[in-house]
Amino acid sequence: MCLNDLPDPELLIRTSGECRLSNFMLWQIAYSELYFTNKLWPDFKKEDLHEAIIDYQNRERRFGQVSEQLKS
Amino acid sequence: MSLVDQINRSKCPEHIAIIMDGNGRWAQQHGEVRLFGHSSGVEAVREVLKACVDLGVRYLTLYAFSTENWNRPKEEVDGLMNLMVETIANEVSELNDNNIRLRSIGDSSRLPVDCNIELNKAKEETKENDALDLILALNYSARWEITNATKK
Repeated sequence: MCLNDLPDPELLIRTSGECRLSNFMLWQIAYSELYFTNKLWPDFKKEDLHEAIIDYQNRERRFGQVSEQLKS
Repeated sequence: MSLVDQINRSKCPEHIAIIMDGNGRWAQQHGEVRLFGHSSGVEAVREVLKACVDLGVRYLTLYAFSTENWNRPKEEVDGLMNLMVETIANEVSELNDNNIRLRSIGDSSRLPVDCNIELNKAKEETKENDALDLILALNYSARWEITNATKK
């Protein structure tokens, strides 16, 4: 892949209310958290980024495991 | 408590990817041509970049132009390419001020010559920066990337 030295994105954001991946980083987002917002891109402010990150931080990322395994 | 204070700084994503959609619709809502929406989108990129640096996000990948976007009206494609060239050329000092390194992914062979010139120049001039890597996906698609990878 093009970005072998980079970690996969933990968070993928798409603006404008469309819920598609549109051929973007399909390999790297295997375990990414997806966040869709209705905000149109020119209206996307730092507060919107903060909201997306807070939403991401409240999710449980299991990577195929079960909750109990993550807690141990 | 403000939004930013609710963020757990030790658990910020290291890499955020964004599909920046809605420039055209935004322009339409404001009674402007689509290209005006794209140039307004550049301001959002600046703001998000700064916010990412402030939070310690290490990599930001932006979907700027897909391999399918060539199918848009020629006027929009040409305008987008010009905007890209101008923006990249104008932002280098800002990138350096914020310790941001510019990189790109995608098939650059089909990009206009002046776009590649500015892009390579900006990459070269920012290559020592290490606060954040800004990765522009230009003439990019995942299927192109994966197909390309299998050829190597």
